[in-house]
Amino acid sequence: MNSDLNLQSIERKAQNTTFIDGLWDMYVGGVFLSMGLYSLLDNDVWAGVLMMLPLVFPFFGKKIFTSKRLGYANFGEKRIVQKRKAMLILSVSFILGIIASIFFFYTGTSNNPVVEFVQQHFYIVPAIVWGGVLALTGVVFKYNRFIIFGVFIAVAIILFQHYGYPLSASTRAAGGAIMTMGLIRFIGFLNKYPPLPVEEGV
Amino acid sequence: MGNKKQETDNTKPIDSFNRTIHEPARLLILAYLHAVESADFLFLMSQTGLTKGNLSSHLTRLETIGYVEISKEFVKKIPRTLLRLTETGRIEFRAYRDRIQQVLNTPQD
Repeated sequence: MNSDLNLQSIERKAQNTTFIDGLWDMYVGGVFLSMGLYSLLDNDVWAGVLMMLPLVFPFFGKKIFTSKRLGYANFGEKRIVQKRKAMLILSVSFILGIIASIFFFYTGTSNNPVVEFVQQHFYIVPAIVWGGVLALTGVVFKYNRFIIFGVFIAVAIILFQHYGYPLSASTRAAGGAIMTMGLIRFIGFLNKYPPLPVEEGV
Repeated sequence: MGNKKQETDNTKPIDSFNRTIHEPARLLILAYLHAVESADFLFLMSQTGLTKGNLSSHLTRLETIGYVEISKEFVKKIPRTLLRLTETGRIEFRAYRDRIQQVLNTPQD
């Protein structure tokens, strides 16, 4: 039996069981990896399939691997509120991304040094928006790895662009790295939690 | 005689603890059920590290006194035992948590 009876840590641990298997890490990594690979594909259909592919990890992986090992828990109202906040962050950042693109791309030359700087280094916008979305999602779900991934993505985009590599190369590299970290976590999870018996007690 | 009275006075705050909840395994079970809306037997087993028999007996005890509600359902022909804290269980758990915090926060001489 676990000796840790810190109630706050138990609550946090229970909430974090959603992410314990690394499948959401693999999903996030997969999304960025497919964004990077998208530009390499000529066929739009296959590119579309590629973008949808990461969804396989959380949706099928949870059913096939996780539920047999961790069981089922419904987190109720708290989780619903967290999901709504995450959706709000995604929507707002999507809108802000579009507004920023329109503003900085189509305003033409400007005397404002900030606008001029962003126009010259436009990669800052996806770095802030994508990294920010991930980090804020991590804050909402109290899952620190997403915050680290957010910073990682932002730094990767800025560094790659600074050294003259395209945006797709940075998302490929960062996505691949995050996916590998998720995979290592997933393998660790499979080792730590063997499948539980189907027949139940009580 | 004086010592006995002093001992009684010292243990009085602890005596008021809910003994059913105070048992470590049951406290752990209730803490997990408090953190979720509902969970199945396997979830509690994987999280608490209790054996099937041990978990079953504690849950039966908690159900008997009305702290936990146990229901059975089938998900794709697989049986699932769903557990949730009753309103009484939730109130008693919070009261226990507040009481223990109160006792531990009492300033020492």
